[in-house]
Amino acid sequence: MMFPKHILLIEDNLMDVELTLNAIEEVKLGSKVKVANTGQQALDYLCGNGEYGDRGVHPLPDLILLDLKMPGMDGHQVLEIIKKTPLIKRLPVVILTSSQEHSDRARGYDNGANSYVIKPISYDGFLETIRAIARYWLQLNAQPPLQ
Amino acid sequence: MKRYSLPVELRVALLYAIFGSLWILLTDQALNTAVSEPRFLALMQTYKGWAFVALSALFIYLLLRAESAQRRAARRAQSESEERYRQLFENSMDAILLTAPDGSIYAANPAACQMLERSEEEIKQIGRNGVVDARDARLQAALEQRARTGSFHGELTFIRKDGAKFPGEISTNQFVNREGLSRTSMIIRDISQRKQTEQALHASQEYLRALVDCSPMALYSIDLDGRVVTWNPSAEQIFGWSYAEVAGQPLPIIPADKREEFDRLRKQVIEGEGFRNLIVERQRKDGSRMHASLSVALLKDVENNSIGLLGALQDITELVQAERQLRQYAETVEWANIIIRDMDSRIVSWTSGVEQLYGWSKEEAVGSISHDLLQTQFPISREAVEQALMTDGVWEGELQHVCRDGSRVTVISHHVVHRDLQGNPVAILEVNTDITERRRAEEEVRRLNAELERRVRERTAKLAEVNKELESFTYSVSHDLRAPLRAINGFSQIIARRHAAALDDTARQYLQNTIQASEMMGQLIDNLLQYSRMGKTGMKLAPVALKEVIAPMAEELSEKLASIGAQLILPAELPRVLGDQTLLWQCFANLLENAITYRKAQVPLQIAIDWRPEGQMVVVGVSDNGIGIPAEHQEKIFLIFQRLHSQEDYPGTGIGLATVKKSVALMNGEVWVESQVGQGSTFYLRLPAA
Repeated sequence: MMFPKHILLIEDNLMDVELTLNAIEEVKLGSKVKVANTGQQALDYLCGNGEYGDRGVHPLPDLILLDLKMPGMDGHQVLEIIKKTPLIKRLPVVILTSSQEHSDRARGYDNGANSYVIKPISYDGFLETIRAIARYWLQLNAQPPLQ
Repeated sequence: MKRYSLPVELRVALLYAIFGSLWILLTDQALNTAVSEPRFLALMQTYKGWAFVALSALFIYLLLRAESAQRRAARRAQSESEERYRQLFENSMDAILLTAPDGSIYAANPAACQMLERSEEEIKQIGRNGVVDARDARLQAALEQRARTGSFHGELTFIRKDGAKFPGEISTNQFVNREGLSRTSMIIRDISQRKQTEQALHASQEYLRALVDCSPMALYSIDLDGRVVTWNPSAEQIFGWSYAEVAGQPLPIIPADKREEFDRLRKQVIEGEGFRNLIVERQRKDGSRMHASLSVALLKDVENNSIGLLGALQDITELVQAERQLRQYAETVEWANIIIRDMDSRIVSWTSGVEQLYGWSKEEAVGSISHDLLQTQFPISREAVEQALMTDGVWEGELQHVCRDGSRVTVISHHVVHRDLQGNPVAILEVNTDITERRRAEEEVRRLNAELERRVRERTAKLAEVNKELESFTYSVSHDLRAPLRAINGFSQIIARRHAAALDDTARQYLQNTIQASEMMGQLIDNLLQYSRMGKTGMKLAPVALKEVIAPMAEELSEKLASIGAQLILPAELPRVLGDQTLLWQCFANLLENAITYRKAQVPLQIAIDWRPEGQMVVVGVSDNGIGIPAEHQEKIFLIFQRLHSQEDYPGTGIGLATVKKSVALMNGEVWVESQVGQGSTFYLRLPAA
């Protein structure tokens, strides 16, 4: 049995959160998911600010799934900060978004995203997407050493 | 037959013998008959004998007297002849040599001595070889002819005492003298002078001929009847008629309407009044007219009789035209804007053109200082302009002038210094081109350009704003529509998977409908977004091997094709086209997907891809044996959202072929279909070959 992996899902849309959690559960990879509904909340979690200070309770994730369109601080800004923060910049970030825009892709990769995945509309497709992401990033990919 | 003449002595002897014989015979017979007495007969015989002797003596006397007289006459004649000959020999102005055929000379007359500058003795001593140039090639032929025919007449080269050679005309004859010896005579005339004259005449004639031939003027002569006698090469060239065509013919260069003038002038010249440089009109062989300067003189022979007319004609057509042009030019220049001023800027010449431009008349302007009159504004100081003008000889620049009526004009002014033969500046030529209107037009154009640029900037800004709004709209569509759609589909699927048991059949069916509808809408949104984004970003036209697009696509579709029992036939070679790899992928993907979708139910699908070159393009065809497209719809199927069938029959979004059309257009190509209902369709893409 593999050590359970932690996923930080940064997503403001509650329905998308629900669907993602259902999909992660369905693919049965034994991952634990932490949800941050805002960019600030995500950064606080990652930096161990405030209530997230205890790393034993709030461990750093093995994978960050990041939505782009969020109120306030959007996904690009969050990504930029993550990739500039020494302690967390190596964390793999997969942008998981509905946007197929060339500009979003370009900006995402420029800011250091490790992957850019477009959320399919169909649930079956979404299941396959989540399964593929989890398999690759949580099982196949060697986790980066953290500073 | 040669007549033989008996010598006189023999003739006399024969006559005497005949007479004597007849006398004796007749007289003896007569006496025998008449006299029978022998003594009388003897006496008669004696008398007869004496009579015979007397008659013979008389006969002989008469003969001898006649002979003597003849001889005296002959001697007299001979003596006279010899005297005449001697006179001729001595006094002849031609050299006479009496020679022998072997070349020896035994007599030379004084003229020969003078001609050859030798004494008679010297001439006799040197012989023919000393007086005739043995190296003259004609000598041998002359001697041969004389030997053959007895005489020769011609020219040979002779030698004086000092060795100088001279040409001589010789007449030589062979004869036999009284002693029966063969002798020759040579009569020689020194023709040096004549030769020189001939040469001089020939040279003169040659000179004249060359003069006539090379003269640029047409030189011709006509006889008193007006017929052409001579016609030089320039006449041929100027008029077009060759000498052969005009010789002996009436002068052809006279136009019909000038005939009267020609006749009048001809009569005038014949009467002794020639003329020079008369301007006339003549015609060429091709019928074209020309202006000419004509001089005509009367020709006379050595006896001063009129024999014809000599014409010298110069084509001045070009000159006349040039004069006309010059006159026109002068008229034009008069209307050009030209001012001539002296070195003190005082106006000395003022054309009608500047009069019109500035309003000042000639009378008002001439004598004035030009920059004062026109209140000239110089771009640099007037002194600097003058300095530049003196240094370079020219100056050009823009000036402002004030006209008589107070209006201002702008001119491009070109100044040139005119110098005398010693190089001293004596005047300045100023040519002013009014550019007032041009400047106004330029200013107007500038103003309009600025206005245009402002409007373009505004429109561009608006367009950018609209584009931004459109991009924002597209972004919203791509993100904000998809999220709820995903929720609809996702939760419907979750319900179907986890809570289907709690639903009845209808609810389950409705759920499935919801799932399908949301998936379809998602597809529609994706296709629409793709269509709208086409060509906006990332399109690169480059050589693309279609094999690299179609082969992987065929590979990807192989499972699907196998599952429906379909066959995809590809050619051995596929061309290279100038296009975008992604767009090409989309095109062929859509076409193949359509072929799969619109296949006939019971007929195994066959898709064939083929191509052909067409000049600088390539036409690729994708054929299928599907349901086909009615002719009336074959154009509208390329419009967005145009579908010919229901979703239930043939699922699809109606964007595929619109996408193909837009993709192909972006790659500078075109697409069309040929189809028959029930037979299948072939979609053709014409693309630039690479």
